[in-house]
Amino acid sequence: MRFLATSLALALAAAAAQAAVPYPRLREVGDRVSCQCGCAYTVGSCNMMNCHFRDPVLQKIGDGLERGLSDEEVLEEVYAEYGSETRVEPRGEGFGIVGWTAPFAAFAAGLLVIPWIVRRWRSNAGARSRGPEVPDAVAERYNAEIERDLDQFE
Amino acid sequence: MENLGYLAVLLAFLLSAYAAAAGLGGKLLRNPFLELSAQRGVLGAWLMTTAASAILLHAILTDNFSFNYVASRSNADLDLLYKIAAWWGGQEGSLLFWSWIAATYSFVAVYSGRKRHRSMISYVVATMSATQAFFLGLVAFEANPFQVIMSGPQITAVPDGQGLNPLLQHPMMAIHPPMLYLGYVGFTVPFAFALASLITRQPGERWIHTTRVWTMVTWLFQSIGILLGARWAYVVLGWGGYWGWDPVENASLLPWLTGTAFLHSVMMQEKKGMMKVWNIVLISATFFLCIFGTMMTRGGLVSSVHAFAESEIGAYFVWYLVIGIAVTAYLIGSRLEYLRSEADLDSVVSRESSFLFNNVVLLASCFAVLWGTLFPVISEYFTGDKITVGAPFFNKVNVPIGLFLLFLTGVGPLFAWRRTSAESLRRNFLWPAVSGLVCAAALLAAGMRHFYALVCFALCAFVAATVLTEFYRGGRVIQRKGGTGLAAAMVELTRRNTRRYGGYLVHMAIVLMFIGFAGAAFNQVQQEELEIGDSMQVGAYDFKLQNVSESDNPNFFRAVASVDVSRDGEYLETLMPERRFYHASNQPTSRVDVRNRLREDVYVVYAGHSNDGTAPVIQVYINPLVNWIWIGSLLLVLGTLVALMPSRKPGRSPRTRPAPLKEHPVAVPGD
Repeated sequence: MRFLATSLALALAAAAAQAAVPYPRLREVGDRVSCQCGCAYTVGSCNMMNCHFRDPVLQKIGDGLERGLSDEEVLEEVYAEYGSETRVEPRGEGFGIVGWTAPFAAFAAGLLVIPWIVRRWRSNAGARSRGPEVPDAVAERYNAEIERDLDQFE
Repeated sequence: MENLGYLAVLLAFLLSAYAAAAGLGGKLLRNPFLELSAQRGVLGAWLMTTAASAILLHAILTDNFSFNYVASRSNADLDLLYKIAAWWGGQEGSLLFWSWIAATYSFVAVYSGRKRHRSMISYVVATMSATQAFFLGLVAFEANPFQVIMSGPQITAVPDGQGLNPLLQHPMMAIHPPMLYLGYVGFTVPFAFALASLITRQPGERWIHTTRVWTMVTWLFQSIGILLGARWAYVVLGWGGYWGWDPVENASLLPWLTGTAFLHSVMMQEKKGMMKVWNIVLISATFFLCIFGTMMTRGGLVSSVHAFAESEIGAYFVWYLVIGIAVTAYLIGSRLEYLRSEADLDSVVSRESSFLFNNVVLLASCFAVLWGTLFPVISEYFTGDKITVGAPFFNKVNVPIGLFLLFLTGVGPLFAWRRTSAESLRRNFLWPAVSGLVCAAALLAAGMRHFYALVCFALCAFVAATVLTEFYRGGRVIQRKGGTGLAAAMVELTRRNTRRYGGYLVHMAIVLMFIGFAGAAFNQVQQEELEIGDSMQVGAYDFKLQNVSESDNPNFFRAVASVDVSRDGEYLETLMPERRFYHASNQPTSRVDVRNRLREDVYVVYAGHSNDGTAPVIQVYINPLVNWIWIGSLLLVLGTLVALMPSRKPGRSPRTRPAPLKEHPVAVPGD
């Protein structure tokens, strides 16, 4: 009985289950809204019982989709009503552009640094060279010979 | 008892502080007795931390609810396993647990390395003890687990505790935090050796070997901790996934990524004496990211379902980080001369270059995760708008980086050290490239159109082919000579170079995990209210709710839904997801039930009830290929263990047993 009473109080996801919009669609759009109940997931993934945030947001998403709004339009309504902290991605404008580009910029910078490092290491090698350069063709021949020897090793 | 416990913590703190000061002072004053006493201080600190931990554990196990910590984290009817887990289930206890692990690491590292690294061990003692003193200081002055409940001047006890967080009452959660802590704390050891080598201007490579082994052990613990956490999230949190890009999850991933980069680039230093500065930077970054991650979990920097209650200790971590990074940066800057590379790069097409790329990609991934984790704080600081960055952002940023990393996992071993000839390239790349292309063509022909999944599967085939080719070619050479079977020859090959082939096993494990990750692109989910006898369909499966049974025990009430699963009309099995309601903490939680298969998981959640409380809400997930992640996890552990084993020299161990000496039998005592 205790459980039944608790269950009544902790009823979950009714809005989602009753909505005419199929659940996978609700979940898909809901996964683009950050849940504010403390679970740190999206409203699509939040599995807290009696979540005070998820149920009304899913209801709103369902209503919006039923009215024929696009995903983006529905989401803009949600963000406008519940605040920018419900976004799960930076906007594509203003400071949001920094949010999107910074990781890739860091990655690109890292890739650009590699040729510089390689050039530096190679120029050091040139400066410290202790003997005549072996022509590439000769080195290639020797390397091929070594590879053959290694294949027949043991 | 509480006084004894607190006294032990205070003594451990003082002994750690003394060991740090004596280690440093002994070196600076050239006083070997002081250095020796620092080592004794490490032992003393370990004994005191162990005593404090034993007292807290005793209080938990004997239900001593006069301890505030025990009353808030345990209860009388809790299972023994979870009572033990209550030790690290709260802020105060977990800091003591952390300190005990740190003290144990210090003790083992110092006493196993004091002869081998005589000239630098005092600095190792100083670094590790200073870190330990920091954490013990937090336990002693900010998060004391030995506080008692007072009623006026009298110590009093509550009749029963509030219990452990229900989400933590899972066998995996009893193992996951210790493993993660062993990883986090363990990175102190390689960092301490790196710092000591900087201070003493060590030109030798012996310390780097010690550091590498410690890093690998620690990395293994960290990996197990992360993977157990993922598995726990999958079977307990009930949202069908295993990684939510939560800040605390991310915090554990950051040092793992830099630690992985270090384990690769350290080979450059061992084999060629290159990248010395870089390696010091990497291991230092790994250590500081561990501290940073701890600060995120405990200091209230970001909100997370896994974080401990917000507290004031974050500021101490900031100071520790600022001072630690400043000292490390100064030491690196002042010793650049000693860290100069001993060799040069011969060719861009070489193993050395592939390590450079590998490091850049791993660090880019680390930066992307760190950036996303801190973006709410950064965006709020610059714009006043707090933007929580969630899984969609992390996936969009990290998936391409991860795929590039997977590509490098395959490419790296195909390059030779120094330079790779065109002929060698052609020969090494041929079959792996063919495998990748055939895989991509087959999947396209089968109708797969998901771009990332397609690329991922093709790359998995490519990398798997490189690893298998390496084993095959090496195994064939031994087979030809020894006349053994190919499998036995491959085992022998692995035993002769455990580090290399253990590493390949880890690469293979990564391939299996990526197969599992790619499967997520085809997940299906459905949720419905079902009356008893109702059915729902997801994919090819039918789910029929047979009944809901209820039972009660002193710890929790539970309701179990019996759901029959069938496919194409054929009954497969009954899954029994449940909801629990824990009496002590008044918290509900779910227990999912999963039908595990290599092809896909059928994952059923008893998500709750309809508004009127009559109809259970059942969620069903079909998660293709997810089990390959757990299989890959096991292979990763195996591969790392293999890499940690010493290699066997081919000539040393006899392959055949020597013939018994018949002519001159030797008398054996006791015959």
